[in-house]
Amino acid sequence: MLALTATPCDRQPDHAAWNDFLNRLDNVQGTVNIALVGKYVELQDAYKSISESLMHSATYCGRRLKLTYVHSEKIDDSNADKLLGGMDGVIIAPGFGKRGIEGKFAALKWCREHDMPTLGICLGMQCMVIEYARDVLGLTDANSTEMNPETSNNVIDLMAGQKQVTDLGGTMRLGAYDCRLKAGSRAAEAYGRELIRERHRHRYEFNNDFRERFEQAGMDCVGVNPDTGLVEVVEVPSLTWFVGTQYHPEYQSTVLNPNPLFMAFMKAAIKHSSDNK
Amino acid sequence: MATKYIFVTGGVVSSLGKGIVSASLARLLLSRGFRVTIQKFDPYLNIDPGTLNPYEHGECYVTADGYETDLDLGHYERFTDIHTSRNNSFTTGRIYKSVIDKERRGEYLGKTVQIIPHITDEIKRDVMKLGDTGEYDFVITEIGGTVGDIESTPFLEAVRQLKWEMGHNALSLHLTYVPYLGAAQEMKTKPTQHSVKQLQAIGIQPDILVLRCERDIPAGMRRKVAQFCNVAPEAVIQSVDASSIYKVPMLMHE
Repeated sequence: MLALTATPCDRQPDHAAWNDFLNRLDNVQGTVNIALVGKYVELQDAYKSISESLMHSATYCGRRLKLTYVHSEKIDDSNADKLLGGMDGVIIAPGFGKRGIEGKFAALKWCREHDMPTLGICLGMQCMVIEYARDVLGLTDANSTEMNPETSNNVIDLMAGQKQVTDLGGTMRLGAYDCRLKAGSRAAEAYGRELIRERHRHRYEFNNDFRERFEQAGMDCVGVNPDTGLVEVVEVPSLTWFVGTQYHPEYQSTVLNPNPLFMAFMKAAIKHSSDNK
Repeated sequence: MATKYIFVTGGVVSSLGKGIVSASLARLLLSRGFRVTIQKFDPYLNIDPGTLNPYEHGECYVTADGYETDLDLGHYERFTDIHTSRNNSFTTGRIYKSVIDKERRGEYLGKTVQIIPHITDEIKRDVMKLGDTGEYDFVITEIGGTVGDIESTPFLEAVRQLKWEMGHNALSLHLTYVPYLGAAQEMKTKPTQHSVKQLQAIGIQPDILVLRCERDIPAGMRRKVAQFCNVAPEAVIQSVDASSIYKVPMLMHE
């Protein structure tokens, strides 16, 4: 660097905040066990931002992250207890398409019935909605039109603006949008404010025609885009921490500013682990 | 001060962690109060990684302005806490598309459109775009791929020209690998020497060498690398495998 700066030593480096994180990393006490259910688990780089976000939040909570990748094609009702039973929290990962989707439903059903702290992201949130529709609302054929274009209970549907889109590249709903959170919700508690802005990457959305039925059955739409009414966050208030986000909180978690939603998820997971000791 | 440009290239093997080294360097500059940004050029022909299967290059990272980018951009943001944008991620495909679109619009005034100068000029413009905003003291440009690949040749030619044009406002950092041979109980610097030779043949003299290694490289060996690669001895830096990627900035600082 000497060649580039005219006076190389005139600025003393300030590493305080960074070193604070490294100190926490070296002094973690105990482990927090998180499972990530997804279909690309063979290549862990496929979930890089999620695993880093979990690691940031675990470190700030004073725990070592033990992240277990669960293949969504290899989990069903018969083995969910074995695969998820020892966990403190579960992430249902983003993704596209049909493959592995039934496994995500099985994992979600198990998590919901066992009050496991759970965060569903993007397709993970959509799976949360579909599983709830099928098993709680009793809409047995509920689905996303991405998986079954013929379903009569299209609780997840293609966004209006996507219906004319033919090119695949760069045409999703992408980037940062505002989201207004309902006061008192888990999500609003996590962020400590009601207007947030997170990043997106999707074509399908929660079908607002079903919103009232979901809310009557105990799944609330607690985050909504203020301009379009698009549902960004769902949660089940009767459970300890069961939250799904259409947006990707993992794109905005850094070493110095861990994402608030991951922090709240991590705290819920740690509380779950100590409650079960 | 005029914006300074740092070009990061990699040699010997891929997956050396150029992204982490670039992000760590940005972190160190930030800690001294400089304004920094990092951009990446990927050598593939896809316009962006948005349509790539995650098994190919890992996750697709999305910037706040809605651009689908390489996962290294995620490292940049996690290390620097600074938002990136569509001007921080380019592919060969995007650069060719831009040039071909310009050709169709007649912007080249009937000239024969060629890799040199048209593709390389496009690359140079994309490098300067961030610096020209006046918002940054340093622009770190990571060139994806490995020196010697056919795909990265136009990028390296653009880097050569930019270094020539900018003089002391630009420098080149080359990341290589120093393997440890268990049977011989020795570390080997020959792959590094060959990699630097390849870079020199293109016309780029690296100013800084970062040697990725599994264990400490003795000072004498670093001096040997400096001598054979025509680099100042204090500009040969080792980067030993760390237990966490977030320790790399401090290890580089030492």
